[in-house]
Amino acid sequence: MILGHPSFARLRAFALDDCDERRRLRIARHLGRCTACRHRVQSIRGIVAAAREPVGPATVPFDAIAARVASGERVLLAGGAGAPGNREPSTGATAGIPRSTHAGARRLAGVATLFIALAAGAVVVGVPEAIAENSELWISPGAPRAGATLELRYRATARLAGEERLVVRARYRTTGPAPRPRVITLGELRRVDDATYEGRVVLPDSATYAVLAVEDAEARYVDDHGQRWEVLVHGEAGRPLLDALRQRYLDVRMRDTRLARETLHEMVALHPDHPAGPYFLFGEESHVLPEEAADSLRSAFLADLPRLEAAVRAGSPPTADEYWYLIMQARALDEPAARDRLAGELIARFPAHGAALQQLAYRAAARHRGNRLAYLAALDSIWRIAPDAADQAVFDGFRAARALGDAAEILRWAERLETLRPDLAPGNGAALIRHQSTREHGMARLRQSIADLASPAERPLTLTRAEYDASRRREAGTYLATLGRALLDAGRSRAALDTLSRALETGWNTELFRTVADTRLQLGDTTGALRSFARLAADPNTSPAFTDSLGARLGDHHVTGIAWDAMVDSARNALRRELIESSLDRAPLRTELRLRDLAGKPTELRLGAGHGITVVAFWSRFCPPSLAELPRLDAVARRLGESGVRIIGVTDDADGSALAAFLREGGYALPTYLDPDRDANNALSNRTTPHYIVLDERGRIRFTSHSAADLARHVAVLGGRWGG
Amino acid sequence: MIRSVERQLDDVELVRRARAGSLDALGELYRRHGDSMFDAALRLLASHQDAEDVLQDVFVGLPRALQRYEEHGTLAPWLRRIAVRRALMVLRAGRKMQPLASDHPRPDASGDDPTRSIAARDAIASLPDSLRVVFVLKEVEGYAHEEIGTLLGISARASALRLHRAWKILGRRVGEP
Repeated sequence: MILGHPSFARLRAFALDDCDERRRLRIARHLGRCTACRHRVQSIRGIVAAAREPVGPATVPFDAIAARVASGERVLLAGGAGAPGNREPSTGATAGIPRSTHAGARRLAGVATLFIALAAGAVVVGVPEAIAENSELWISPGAPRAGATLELRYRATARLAGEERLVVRARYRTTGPAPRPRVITLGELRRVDDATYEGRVVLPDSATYAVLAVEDAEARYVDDHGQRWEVLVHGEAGRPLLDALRQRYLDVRMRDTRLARETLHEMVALHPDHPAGPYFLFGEESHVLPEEAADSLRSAFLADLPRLEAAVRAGSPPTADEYWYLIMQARALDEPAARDRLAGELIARFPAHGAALQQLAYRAAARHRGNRLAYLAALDSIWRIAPDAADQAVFDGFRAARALGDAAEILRWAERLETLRPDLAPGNGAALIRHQSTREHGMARLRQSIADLASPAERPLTLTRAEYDASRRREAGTYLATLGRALLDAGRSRAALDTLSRALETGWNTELFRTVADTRLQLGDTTGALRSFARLAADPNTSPAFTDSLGARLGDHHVTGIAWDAMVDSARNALRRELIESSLDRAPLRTELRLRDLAGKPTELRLGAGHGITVVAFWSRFCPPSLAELPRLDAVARRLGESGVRIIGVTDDADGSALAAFLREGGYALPTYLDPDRDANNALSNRTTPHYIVLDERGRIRFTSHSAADLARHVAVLGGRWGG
Repeated sequence: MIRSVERQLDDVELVRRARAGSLDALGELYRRHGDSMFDAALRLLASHQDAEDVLQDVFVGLPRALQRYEEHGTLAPWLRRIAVRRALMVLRAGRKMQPLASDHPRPDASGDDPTRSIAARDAIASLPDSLRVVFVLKEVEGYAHEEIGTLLGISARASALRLHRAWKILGRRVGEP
């Protein structure tokens, strides 16, 4: 226990992540009580950050150096510290920590008793003294009813331990086919000892499914545990409600296909007579199967459709929701007769229900194919039946009106859409500016959307405040760029340039640079265009072919090689400054990654100084966003690897041979390891995929990202290679 | 021409060519790594002129020094280390006057540096050489005290003491209680 205040040396070590976890936790606990020491830590960090800021480009012209070399001048240089060649200095961060401390922590972990959380309720069995690499959240009861009070107990990650209070937030979903999730703050957790926190919260009564996350009061760090802390509302029989499982499926399907399918199997097993489970399950399984197997699957689900229909009719009474899933299943199974019959029943029984209005909209599309005016009139009639529920008709009406090109119709349907879905205003604005007759209306919507971004809004569950602010800035930049183009099309050049300049201030965005450069060129502002082109050329993701093509585009206006080089170097410095200012600087929780190669052989990879720049890429072939990123990740990894960056791909796959086959068939060369015990995930505090962590030559974590496009920039800023 | 063929080459090939005497390859290495090396020298010397001299000397001597380089994908830190050692040589050789904090150039553009950041940089630049060097080597360049001791010819304990003194002065100068 620390008596009084920690020494300056210890505060410095804490501030710079230069102490072992046990001491870190003890100091963190002290900081939770001591404002003066917190200020000192902040001051230390500020001084070091200032010291590490780039100090600007060298202004020595290479010509002077070349002249000295050419004259035969000799300068004798010393190499590495006391040793020949390129041995790297060890960093203070890792060299100063005795290995026994980490080993000691692991021994404690081995002998400590564990928390055990049971499915039917959380029961505390013992108190671990080990330093936690893993955070954990126990939720009791484990099978809550709607509106129940939840008792929470949280073992904090090292990043949050020491805070006096923490905040619990939730992303929750309510009953309905596909409602939009909401994010709310549920309440606080108070510290009870060291790294343990407790609290009580209540979900909204209407919530059937929620994902929880814990963060500090200023939202600088969010512990979302890979979005695995869930609450599913249960019914009287102690089973998760159908809607809880359905909302869980809707929540996880875009980030974890294995969990999505498990949820659907559970839905079918627990609620066999509801058509929602089979409908979603057929959709998930059929598109991953080869054609022959998909046909067999279809036959199986088709054979089950009459049973489901009978079960729905036997329900007292059948609901519109059940009818909707039957109809959609019939549609998916390509059974038009069953589909039309069921749709007719739905429309007759529930004429003002959104599901029925959707079927009416589908019928209108089929009936009035080729006759847009009649189609729009039919959709208008459908909308008037129940304006608050006619989502399908409104979406279709807006699309049809734009196809027709009638300004009055476009505006009418745009307003109806915005009444139903205010969040779609920016998209509507972008659509409206494409038509000259509605351009002013579109620009007004974009201006309003830009203004709205300055107002507080629901921060996504997994984003820190800084990340959210950055995403809002990027969003504003996109809208400003769109607005700028519209102003240009309207002949308002000065306003267009002002708006585009504002767009550039929102951050590094290569698409924006391209848009602005092209616009300036169009307006005859070659100098301004060159500045934006220089930024594009400075971006490590830009190909050399693009830069070479600039000479042809710029024609007689192209600058000399030296002046252009200076512009590109200035742009690189701007990127470097921007990224360095937003960079992290923390040590991994451990520097040894205990992994397995694709053959299953144990492999230990070390982080830390002496390995140059390292990229650890967490991905999963069961994660749709990971798969979408994989081609770009593979290409970027190849390029970075050729320039000396160490690439470590880590997956959650348990089957190395299946993964090897997957990589081989896709032609991927990404170095990939298995992490069956989540060792690497824990060492780098990773809970999500895709997620890329970039460590500098000292072995410090400097950048994290979910986009492979960022990797080249991050590496370049850390001293890797610039240019494509 | 906006780009020369050297822009297309990776560091390994550039090193090979620079060793063989190619000025274009040396120029490309300068373009890629010069700023980082200048940063390191300037932080140690707190003098723009001295740092530029160091950068020039390093690149003049680099073709010969590269004979000792072994390709392990760590060229950037190796070059930076060379610049650090050259800057330390300049300090050991003595300088005619203590550079002023205002000699420390500011990053261009922005104008939006927080006051405290400027005060901190000025405070670091105005530390006595013996303390500033240890501070920069430890807190910026990431050397351990043992290595700093080897570089400066002092003990690791002396390095730690100098770092502590540097922090005390910095704390006072930036208004730390």
